Amino acid sequence: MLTTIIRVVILYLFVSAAIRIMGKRNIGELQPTELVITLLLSEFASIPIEDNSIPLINSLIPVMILISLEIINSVISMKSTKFRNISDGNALLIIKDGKLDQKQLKKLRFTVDDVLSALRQKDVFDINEVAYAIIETNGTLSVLLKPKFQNATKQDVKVKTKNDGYTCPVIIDGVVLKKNLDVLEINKEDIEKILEKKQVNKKQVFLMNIDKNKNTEIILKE
Amino acid sequence: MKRVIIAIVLISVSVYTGIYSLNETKRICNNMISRIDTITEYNTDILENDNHDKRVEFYKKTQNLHDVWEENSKFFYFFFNNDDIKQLELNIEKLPEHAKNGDLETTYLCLVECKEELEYIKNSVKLNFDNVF
Repeated sequence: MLTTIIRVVILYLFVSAAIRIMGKRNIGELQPTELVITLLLSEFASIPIEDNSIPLINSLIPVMILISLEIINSVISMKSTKFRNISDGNALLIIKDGKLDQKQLKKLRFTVDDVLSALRQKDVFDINEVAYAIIETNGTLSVLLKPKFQNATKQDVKVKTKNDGYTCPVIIDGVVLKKNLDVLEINKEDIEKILEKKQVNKKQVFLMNIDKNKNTEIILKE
Repeated sequence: MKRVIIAIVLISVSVYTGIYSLNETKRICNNMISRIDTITEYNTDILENDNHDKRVEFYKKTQNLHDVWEENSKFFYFFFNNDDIKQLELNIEKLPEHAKNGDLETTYLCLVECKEELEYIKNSVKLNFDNVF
């Protein structure tokens, strides 16, 4: 049992590092080849856990090869459009001006129910509201509504806006995030002054958000 | 660029490990097979011309084979399925004892089995398309 435990830990660390090196976090954003690699990774990782008589190297080497193949694939895809089309496919237009392209649906082997379900997940309940709908290479649906059905922007209603910039966390769990300070062009001293004004110690802070205009939101640790 | 270097490093490590395991397995197996052949000759020799010195030499060689296995067993456990090498290990473990007891027939049978198992292990690491498919 101890052997199994140690193997699980080693494989967990190894597979986590492998997925991190591949550079994707959300499984829904994976391209077809990346999805294949992720599934294969889990298969290879589980083999020596199920059977202690199988050497760990039988899992580690295939995982290394898979990571290398995926990196090589992504590098070639970056350099070559042709290769990218073969490897990942193309995005396909399935709705234009409220009309379903039935030929494309047949090609994709999508049913109308699949399309309607995907539209509903994008808060679109009427196909006539859609100007364009595109199936991306990772299987997700991108939707552009017709202008009259799009939400009004501040520009449309002629409302004056001020740019508060990007709100960024600068302290998480008592630790100052220097990278985010640089993004907002704020120094550590400014943060300390703000905390001093609010009579709060940095270590008491669970989350501190700040924007370019130094509007802050602080959540203290419980 | 960093990822490309990681990919190259990983492939190199994998290929090197594969080639290393292939070459090292062949080397160790050939070494042990040649020792087994020598011991088998001694075994046959004792049957024809038995004497104390030959028996002592016979026992020393079986013990030596056992020691060589001990040195290399970690390598085998690292690269091979335990089931493949379990029987080989059992036979090698028993050899010095049988030799000490003067049990020539059992020793001979153990040697033959050991040699078969080593040949099997050696062939299993060979790269040929029959193994792939």
